[in-house]
Amino acid sequence: MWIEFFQAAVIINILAATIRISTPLLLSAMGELVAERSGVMNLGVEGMMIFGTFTVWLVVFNGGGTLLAIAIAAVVGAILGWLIGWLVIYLKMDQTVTGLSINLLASGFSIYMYRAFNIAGETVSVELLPNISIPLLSKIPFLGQIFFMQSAYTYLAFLSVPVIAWVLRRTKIGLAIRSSGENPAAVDTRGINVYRIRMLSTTFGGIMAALGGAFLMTVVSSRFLPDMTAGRGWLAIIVVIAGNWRPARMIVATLIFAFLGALQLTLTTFNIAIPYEFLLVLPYVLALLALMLSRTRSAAPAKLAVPYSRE
Amino acid sequence: MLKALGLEVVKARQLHPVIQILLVLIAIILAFALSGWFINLTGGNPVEAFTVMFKGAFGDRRKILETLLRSSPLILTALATVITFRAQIWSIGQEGQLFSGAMLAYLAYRIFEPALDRPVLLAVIVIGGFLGGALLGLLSGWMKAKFNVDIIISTVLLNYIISTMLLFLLYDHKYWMGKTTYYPRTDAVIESSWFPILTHDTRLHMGFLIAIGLALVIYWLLKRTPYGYDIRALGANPVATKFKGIGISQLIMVTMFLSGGLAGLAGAGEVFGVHHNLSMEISPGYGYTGIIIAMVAELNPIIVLLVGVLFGGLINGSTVLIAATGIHSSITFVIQALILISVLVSRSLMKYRLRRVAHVD
Repeated sequence: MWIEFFQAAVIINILAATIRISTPLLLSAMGELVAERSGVMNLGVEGMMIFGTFTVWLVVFNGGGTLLAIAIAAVVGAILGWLIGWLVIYLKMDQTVTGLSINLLASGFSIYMYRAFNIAGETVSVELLPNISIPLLSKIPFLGQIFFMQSAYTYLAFLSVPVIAWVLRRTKIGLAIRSSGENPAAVDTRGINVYRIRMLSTTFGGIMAALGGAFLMTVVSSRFLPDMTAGRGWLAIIVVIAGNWRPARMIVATLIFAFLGALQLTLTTFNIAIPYEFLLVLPYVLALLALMLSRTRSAAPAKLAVPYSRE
Repeated sequence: MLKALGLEVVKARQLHPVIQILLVLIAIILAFALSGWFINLTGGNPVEAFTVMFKGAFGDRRKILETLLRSSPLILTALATVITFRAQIWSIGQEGQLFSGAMLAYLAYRIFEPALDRPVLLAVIVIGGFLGGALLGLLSGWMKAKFNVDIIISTVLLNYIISTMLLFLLYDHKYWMGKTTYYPRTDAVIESSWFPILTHDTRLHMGFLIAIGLALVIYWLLKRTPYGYDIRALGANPVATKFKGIGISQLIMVTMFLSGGLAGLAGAGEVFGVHHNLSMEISPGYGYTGIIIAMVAELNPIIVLLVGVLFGGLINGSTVLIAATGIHSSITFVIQALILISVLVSRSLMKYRLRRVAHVD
């Protein structure tokens, strides 16, 4: 059975799945990076992703198309990010507790909505986004199938990494975001409103997380399940820490988690003597080990999770 | 926007406690109103739903006792939250620790059941439940102390890992799956291992008394002992605590051990007091509800008892919802989360007030 497994087709399949599975993690993690860089530790990523999934489902349920559903999910994400920002920046509620409340709210909503519509016996399936083969590049042997036959969603997610890295590093607004996380008082004395910068960053994080959640409903699965994000939001937060707040390293961390996920998907279709549940928890066990070993947190924003008060 | 109205936001003076309680009550009513609106949106009748829930929870003596039964695990997981959150240790591992407590209690039962008399067997089960949760809590505490892994993240991950491992054991006849069942659950545990019930005509078992007793113990622990002082000091000012020479690593590990143990007891109680078998169904998110209760109760062990019973009523009352109104019981999760958010917001708002902008001529 292992011989069947080590075939080019299977391995290409796993690697292509790795890239696909990276998408929601990468989107949410990049959003979280921007929020954390500005000084807001948003632990509600999981909840915002859940809201993303069931917004898509609700829109499609009410007759909307897939693209409209994604757009509305992004709007919902923005509202949630804005709400979290308002609670922790203006009301100075504890950032940990606020994030948790959003997660609980999302989980509750998704379970109830699922039950409410299932009782009515109404099911709906979302029309999935097609894979787009990029001309020429997709013809490259092996690599083409792995990298260049994905959905538009995946290309955009990977494109977002250099764009966000560039904005953070090279632009004025990026400088303001980073400074708000390192030395908000100094930003303030330059006449830039720290609250507004943090609100903007947290709202952006909300959009990205909701888009990450929406991916699950528009590319991976056409059927909705409550809590179908299954901890991906938490993995996104871990990707930021394990990547030491640096986009390039975050891609590596994302790919490792995604590879384990892809491995699990493929191995379960083979008759291999590793219990399914063990494969399922592999990313989480690895995440714990990675956090234990990555002791350098050198690039963490100095004022992460510290509320700023203008006195 | 406010400036145009001639108003500004300033820090408020400390409000009278009675007014504070009133504001929290208003927040809770607001949460119910929001939930009702949501029920209405999904095609239900909120007034009918809340009436059915209230009657189902507190309608008569039996229902009240059933509510108390439901509140026992909630009080325990809430107490588990109280001691960690007081120290600003953000553990959300109560759900996983509840399961690991249930698992170790069940394992102890399988090993010792043939050999021991009822009282000793019960003691072994209770200790197993405590240790099962405590060791999982300690694992997170240790990872924080030695490797600086955030407690909140390690506990979330361990929640996923533990519940998946339990599924693994429950889905295989070679391990814990019952011989006569095709559901993922164990065979029923024998009657001599059941927690003693308190009244002959209900299911209320000794776990409720344990929960109340432990609430008092935690209250005393936090208020009157050096350990409690250290916990409050760590929560209030971690840097100062370090300089006072308190061993923070040790304090975190001890607190996580105790917290996990409390949640683990809840798991043992559900297996041996309520369900009499081990399955995923022993907890419909009791660990997370415990966090909400602790927050609403402002991390006070005595108020936890009160809020715990109210939330027990919410969950108990929701069990009859579907039959009576067609609204699914999971609406309680929505209500719980909305209560939490609205209470938190009201507490934050209490810190501020509006006043007219003073004109200086």
